[in-house]
Amino acid sequence: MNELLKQVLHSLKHKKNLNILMVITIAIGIALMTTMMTISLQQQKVPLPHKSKNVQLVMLDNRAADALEQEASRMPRTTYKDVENIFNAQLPVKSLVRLWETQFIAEPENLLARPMSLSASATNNQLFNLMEMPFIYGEPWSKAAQTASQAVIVIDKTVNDELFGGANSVGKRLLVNKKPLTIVGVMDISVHTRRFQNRYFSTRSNDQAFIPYTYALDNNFRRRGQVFCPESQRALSGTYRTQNVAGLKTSECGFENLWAEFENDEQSDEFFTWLTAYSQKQKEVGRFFQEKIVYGQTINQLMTVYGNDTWVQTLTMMSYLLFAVCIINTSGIMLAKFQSKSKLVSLYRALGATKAYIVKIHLIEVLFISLIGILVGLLFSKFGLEIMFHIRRYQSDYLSDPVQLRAIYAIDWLLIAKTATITIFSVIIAGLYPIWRISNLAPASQLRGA
Amino acid sequence: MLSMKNVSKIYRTDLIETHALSDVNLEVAEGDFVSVTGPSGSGKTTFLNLAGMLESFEQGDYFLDGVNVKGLNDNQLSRLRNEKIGFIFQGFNLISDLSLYDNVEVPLIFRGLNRAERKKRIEESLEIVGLASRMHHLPNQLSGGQQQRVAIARALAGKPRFLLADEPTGNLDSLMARQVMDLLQDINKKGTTIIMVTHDPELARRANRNIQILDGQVSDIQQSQLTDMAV
Repeated sequence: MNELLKQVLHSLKHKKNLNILMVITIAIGIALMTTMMTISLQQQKVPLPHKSKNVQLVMLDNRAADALEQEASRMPRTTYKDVENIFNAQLPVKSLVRLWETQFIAEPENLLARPMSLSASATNNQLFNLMEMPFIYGEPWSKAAQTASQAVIVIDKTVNDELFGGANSVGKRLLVNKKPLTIVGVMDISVHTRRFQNRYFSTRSNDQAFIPYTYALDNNFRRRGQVFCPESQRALSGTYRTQNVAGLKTSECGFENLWAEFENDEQSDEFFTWLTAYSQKQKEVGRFFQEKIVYGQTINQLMTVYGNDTWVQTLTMMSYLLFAVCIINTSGIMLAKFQSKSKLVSLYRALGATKAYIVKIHLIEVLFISLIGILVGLLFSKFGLEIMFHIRRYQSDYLSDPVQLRAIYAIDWLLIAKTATITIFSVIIAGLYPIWRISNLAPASQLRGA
Repeated sequence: MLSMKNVSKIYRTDLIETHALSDVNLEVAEGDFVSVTGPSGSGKTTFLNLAGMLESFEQGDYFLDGVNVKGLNDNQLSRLRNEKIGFIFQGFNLISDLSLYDNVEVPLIFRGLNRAERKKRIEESLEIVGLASRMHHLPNQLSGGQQQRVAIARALAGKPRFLLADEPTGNLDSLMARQVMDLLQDINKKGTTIIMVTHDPELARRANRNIQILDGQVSDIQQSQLTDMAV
């Protein structure tokens, strides 16, 4: 074996420039492919994959009878009335979550840090169960705190780092709109690469804080998400964003995202049966007009719409093609290199090397070159992902959350292992013809003359 | 010990068939020093390639040390070639980036000998050709004659029964050519059978048997019949 490796090393020393060219070609192919595959893979990663099929966005179509056909995933948000009724029905579900977006400026009570503008959501405490939110300090607010509309808040690690230097801030207070909110928990939302909970599935930024919906309504936190009002109330939708909470509560304007997590299909069936009956009753009293009113979309179904970035997919397809071009090119370079060794191989054959031995030398050489190519390619792809990350940051005017965004451009080792395997096989296949050619060289063909 | 019976070699292209060797019948006894002469294109090198199993043949039988070469697979041919035959080429065919030691080692690696055995044989064979002191030099640090001696050492290291030499002095001046021939004669005296292709009647006369190839036909000739065949 040592002797074989010695022969391989000797072979590698032959035409070093062609080796370098092969390594660079393979590396570029891999870098392009892994960069785009990583972005594509990370973008297509379904939130909460182990239970995404059991988590459904619940929507009630309260649009006018003559409304245009629309994808199920794009149905309006749910009204306060309906959400309240659904909660009050106390249906058997694992979690039932209501949520809408808000934004506010927060500063520590001691004013030792600069105020931060936080993108947050008003929600109920079951959200943390549904999202399986990891807590660094503290815990979610209690149901009692929620019912009592207590001034509490859960902040993200990034906010805690910024305002409290990463220390345990549970029990401390933040001034929001000049009113104090007690921090009950510090979460690490970075485990969620998409902000799916507000159904935008954004990869740019995520919630920086959560507050109880009761407190948000009682204190009229502005509603930053979609507020969909039927034609008759459309003029009021602007008002409902910033004021008139009482009006909003009784209006037909949908602004809440309603998520239900079911233990099993029976629960889901029961829930939607009840909801269909409920919607029919509401239709009878003139609140709904469509034939089909109730829509449930699992996270997986929603991802087929929101996780579908055609530009990324196009680039990924192109990267496959470029990878193929690089591999074919490698085959060409390999052929040139091996042909340039004809005389040496002829000599080896004359001196007693079998075809199998010649194949072994060149196969190991090909493997070695592809491994080096893979390693260099990984470095290139790390660099490529870094560039793509910065381009994306630039595109978002640096408003995106770098931690959140970084997750999309993070190397996935399983993918790397797959790509490395694909590359090794591809390079071996690309090397088959050159190896076949060189091993079938007639021993006498190159030994004549001076 | 080397026996060819009705051996023919034909090169075929789409348009023509070239009969490089026709019905060759030849017996070479152990310890012979055979010179092969003939004009350019007569089939000398083809004959040597067949003898060295570097090329296949269409018809006839070829026995090397009692083994019928016909029908052997690539592995068997390579093994036989490695064990029984040493090659000496006109252009030396040394590997330029390997030391003399490493060059001589190559066929021994293919034989699968262990490191100690290889070392012993390399040192012995380089000693025979008088280059043991330069075993770590590169070929381009030697003269042409010395390089050919290294090639001879490489051929000898495997302790072959046959040395097949294709114009071994073709690239050397007369002094060096004489030295190489002296060396080959010494080797032959120690029992190694040598078949040497040459254009030079002077060198051919130093063999103890002379055969001539003309238009693919092989025949024995007397030393007195040797003339300069180079065309």
